Amino acid sequence: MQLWTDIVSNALLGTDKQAPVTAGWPEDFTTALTHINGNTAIDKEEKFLQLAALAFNYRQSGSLPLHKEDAGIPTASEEIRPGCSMAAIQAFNDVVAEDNEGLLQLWLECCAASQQIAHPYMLPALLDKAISQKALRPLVESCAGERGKWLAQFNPDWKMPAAVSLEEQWQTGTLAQRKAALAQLSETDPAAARAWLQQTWPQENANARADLLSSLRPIVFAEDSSWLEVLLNEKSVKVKEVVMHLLRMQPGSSIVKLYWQVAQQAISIKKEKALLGLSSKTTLQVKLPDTVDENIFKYGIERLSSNKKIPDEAYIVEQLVQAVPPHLWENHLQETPEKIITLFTEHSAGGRLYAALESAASKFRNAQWAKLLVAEGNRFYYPLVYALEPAEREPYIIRSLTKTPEDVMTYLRQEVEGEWSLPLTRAVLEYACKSPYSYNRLFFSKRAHQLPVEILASLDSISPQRPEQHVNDAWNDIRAHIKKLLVLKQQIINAFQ
Amino acid sequence: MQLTEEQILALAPDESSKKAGKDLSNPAKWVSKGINEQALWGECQGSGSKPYQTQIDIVNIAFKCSCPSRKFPCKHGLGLLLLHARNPAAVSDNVPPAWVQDWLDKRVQREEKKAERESKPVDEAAQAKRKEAREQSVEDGLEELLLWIKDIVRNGILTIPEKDPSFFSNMARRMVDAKAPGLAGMVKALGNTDFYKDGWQSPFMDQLLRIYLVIAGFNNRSGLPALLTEDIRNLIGFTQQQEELKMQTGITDTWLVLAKQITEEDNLLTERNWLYGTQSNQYALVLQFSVRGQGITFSFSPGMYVQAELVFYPSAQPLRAIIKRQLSTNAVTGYTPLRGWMQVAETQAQGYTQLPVSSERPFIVSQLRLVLHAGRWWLADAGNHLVQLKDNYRHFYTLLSLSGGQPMNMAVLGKEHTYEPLGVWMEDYYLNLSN
Repeated sequence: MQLWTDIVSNALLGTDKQAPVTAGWPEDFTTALTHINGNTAIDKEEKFLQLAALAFNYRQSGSLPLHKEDAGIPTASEEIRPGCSMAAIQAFNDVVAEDNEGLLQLWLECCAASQQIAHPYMLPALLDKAISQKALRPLVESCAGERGKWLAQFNPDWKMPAAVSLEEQWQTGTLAQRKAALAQLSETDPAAARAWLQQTWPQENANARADLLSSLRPIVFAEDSSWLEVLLNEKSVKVKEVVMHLLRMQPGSSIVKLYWQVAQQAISIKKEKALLGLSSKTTLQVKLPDTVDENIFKYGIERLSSNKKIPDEAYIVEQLVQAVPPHLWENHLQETPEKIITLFTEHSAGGRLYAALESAASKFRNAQWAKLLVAEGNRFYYPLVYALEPAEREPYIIRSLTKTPEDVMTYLRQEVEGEWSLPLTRAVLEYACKSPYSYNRLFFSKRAHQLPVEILASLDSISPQRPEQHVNDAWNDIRAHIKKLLVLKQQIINAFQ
Repeated sequence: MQLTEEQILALAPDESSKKAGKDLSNPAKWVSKGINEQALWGECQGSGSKPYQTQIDIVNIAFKCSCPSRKFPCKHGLGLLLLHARNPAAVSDNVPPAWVQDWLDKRVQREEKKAERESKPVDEAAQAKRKEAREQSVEDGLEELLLWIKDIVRNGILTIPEKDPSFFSNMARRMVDAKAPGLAGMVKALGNTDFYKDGWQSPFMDQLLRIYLVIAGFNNRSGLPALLTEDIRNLIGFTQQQEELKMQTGITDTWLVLAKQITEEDNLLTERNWLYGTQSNQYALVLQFSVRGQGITFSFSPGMYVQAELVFYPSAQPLRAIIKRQLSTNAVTGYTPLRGWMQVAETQAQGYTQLPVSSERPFIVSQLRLVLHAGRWWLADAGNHLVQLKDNYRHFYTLLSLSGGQPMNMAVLGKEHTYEPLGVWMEDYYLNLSN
């Protein structure tokens, strides 16, 4: 409005520098202007203020909305899936208020599994969560529905990648996207994943080759490692290291065969007479042959020990035992696994050789050897869990909680993602309640999604029963917190049933 | 009692109270609990040996708890309300124990005593003398303020952003000394103009002219309509005795709480409750002030319906009101929205003819939708008339998400070209989108 612009311009300069300009003002103002300008009782500042007040009220009273026929935005598409219930919205609000990532993930998983979508009211909070927690993005995208896709286009931070196939991601995506696509495919179709990589290999640079290859798990090459063998001739040291790492994990690879050639020469059984020749005793002979195939050092075995107490020769043998499948010893030494473990244990370097066998059993996923080793061992060696038959895993973990609890707690903290079983949860809580300052509210907040709700029924019976009252009080506080989290978890589960 | 969980949480004084209140909505935390048509009560086992006794007047939404918390309402009050909202069947006892009945009786007695106090005669001569002295003090202050304004317009506002903050705060203090606290606030607001924003000159001049109009209005009060004079006096900071107001007959209606805006300055918490009379079609602003959690009489929550008698402060455009009587909170009724922005503009223009210094006002407008035009967001009505959405509107994405680009009935607050949504209706349910 020109009249108001004139007033602001006048005000900027001040009445000392410029008299108010009212030349273009509408005719309606004539009387008022005459009255104000003709008033000799007031000074020029007050005259300006009166004119400005007049213009101010004229502007605000005459303010009209803009008329624009074609302004608008596209509307959101109709939802195909039903919206979640009020109970689910409530549970979501509680999870967000609690700021619990695990329970939020559970909420999203339940929502996606039940083929429902989040209420539009929740979407901004949900899309914000997907920025800070990238792992949640696929779930958020699934639960946000059509409204979420529509909403995300108005905020660059929320922009969702267009739905593209794995193959498209592999062909046209960034290196990170290609790695993710390759890894995803390898989980369901290892042969296809190998074929993808083989196809594009000549076009990739050394860094991309190393990156893409390292995104694949060794099991992808379990059926066919011939291509990996060819890749041993790669020029790039970085690529070669990845190839060697993968080949060392394949029982039939040339590298493992090379290791075995040397290992079987280094370890043998010797029968000695005992008790004045009345009985015989079998012992393990550990000695490297006079000439060792130098290729083992080329392919990953270290020649020198970094520990002064461990001689170089013992160190090399130890590495070789780690690097070969344990069942090979059965044929070579003509003994049962039980006997071989005993022989290794009784040797002067027994502790380290036993640990090497544990490493080998876990690396080559040998369930029979893993079972024997966990029965005999004094420590909790978590890689062995993956080598054990599923039914034997949990008893091993629970048993180890009484021997080496901190190792088990570290394993649970770092390695386990899914829900704990009821017996395991009980065992963990019984241990954790004795150290409420280490296993505090934060510890359980981070693991709320892993605790089964069934533990609620027996939670009250778990108590540190310590003479120090402060420990009991601290645990009572944590227990109340766990209960709250489990009630919330139950709320989420119920809301989607 | 028809409070939803969201409305109950909106009563909480802070985030930690919300969280703690939720924790206490578990029935296992309550040793006893009951409800009748007047009150909701319960005993909550806290860290002490005796459980805390929590009671809520569900007619007037008032809280009392034996816990030592200074927060109002405390977590126990919130927890008990949430427990009842989530699971009404869990609160079955309906005979109030003695401690609840005592509290309810005391509340009635207090009201009676207050009425008795109000009926005591006052020393009119002394009152007139005090009034005269106050008016003189204000007149002197206004004279000084006018000189200050004239200095500004004489020298020009170009260099105003370079002024030291004390330029404004000193004048605001002078107004407090002159017993014109309302004007002190207006001067402070003038100093709070966002000088970093392009076009700051226009809002600065708006506020400067509002101050000038108040001064001019007061100086010419003898020639002004009585109600406009009252507005001017209110803007200066002359207080209106609430007891006197309560003697008058108000508007009894079912009021919908459109929004509760809370601001805090110098430990004083100001609660601005925007209400809409569903039968009278009248909007109201009920202010409540609290220092350290004390002083809030009524607990409002957006979306809540309040059956109450409201008395409006005398004004050419009545808006600010006090609650004289709160009857019950059970009704849920409809509303009559304005058709579009043209009707809002007409209503606003009508208002400015009566009260040129009017501030932002609420409106319920039908079928508004968010549109993008010239790189910014607008609210468009069914006739394609547009007003700007307030800058940095906090709930923008929630509003956008709820709408899906479709029109919705909306409660808004603003003036001229810029409005801020307070809430929207999703079918018959009012969803708060303010604060």
